[in-house]
Amino acid sequence: MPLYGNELGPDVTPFEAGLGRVVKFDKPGEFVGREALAARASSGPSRHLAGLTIASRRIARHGYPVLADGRTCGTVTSGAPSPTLGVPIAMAYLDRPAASLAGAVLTVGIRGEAVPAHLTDLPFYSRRR
Amino acid sequence: MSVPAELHYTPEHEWVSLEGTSASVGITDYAAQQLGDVVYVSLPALGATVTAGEPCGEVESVKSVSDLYSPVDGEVIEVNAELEDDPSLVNAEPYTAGWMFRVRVVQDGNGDAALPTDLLSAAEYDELTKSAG
Repeated sequence: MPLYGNELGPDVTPFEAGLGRVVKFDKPGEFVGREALAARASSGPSRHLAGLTIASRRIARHGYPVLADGRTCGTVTSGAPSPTLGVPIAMAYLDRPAASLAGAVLTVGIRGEAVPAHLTDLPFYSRRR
Repeated sequence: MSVPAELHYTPEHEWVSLEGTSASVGITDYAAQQLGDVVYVSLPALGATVTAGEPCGEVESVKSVSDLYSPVDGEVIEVNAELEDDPSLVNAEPYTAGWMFRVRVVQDGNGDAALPTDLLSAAEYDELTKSAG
């Protein structure tokens, strides 16, 4: 769930945070930002929200860099241990779609150490019905 | 919150147990409670030189990361490998199973372990934590 200060901020559009469904361009009347958002919706996102699992007990925290094959490709927005999944998880904004990073060796810079990480789908967990 | 009487303490919330010329080190019950659930401990390497008052590792909990300071001067002779698999030992048993590392303490002219003179007694440490609130 995107949180203001982490995944949300004054420079993030709802589409980038995965909240595009709450923007209704066809509602009657105007709303502030309609034109700007319509332009951003059609031009495509500049950042891509991705889920990560961390191959360590260390937690990837807000602001830590995400690297693909050693080159910075994004920043962690939030992270925490996941008792359900058994590994720490994190969300990050990447500068390219997650799908384009398939096959790259991903690491998160945790206080000077390059810790292996893996892309995962969001939501991290769906309860089986 | 327990403060065993036979140990020495630092203002950074480490405890020291002197055994001849070696010292065992960990963090106090107070520190473990303040940190919350410990998820990862980064310990100094075997053979590393540690300096009293200097950071030599990290203790990471869910909510924050804290530096781990060495209370003494010396060389690391043993680290607690159990903490790699079960960092929660630091919360459950901070003075026993949650010990962190052992140091061969630098000796003074008489061949005794040269402990820093500003280590706190149990009573002094207890006072420190109470006044911190």
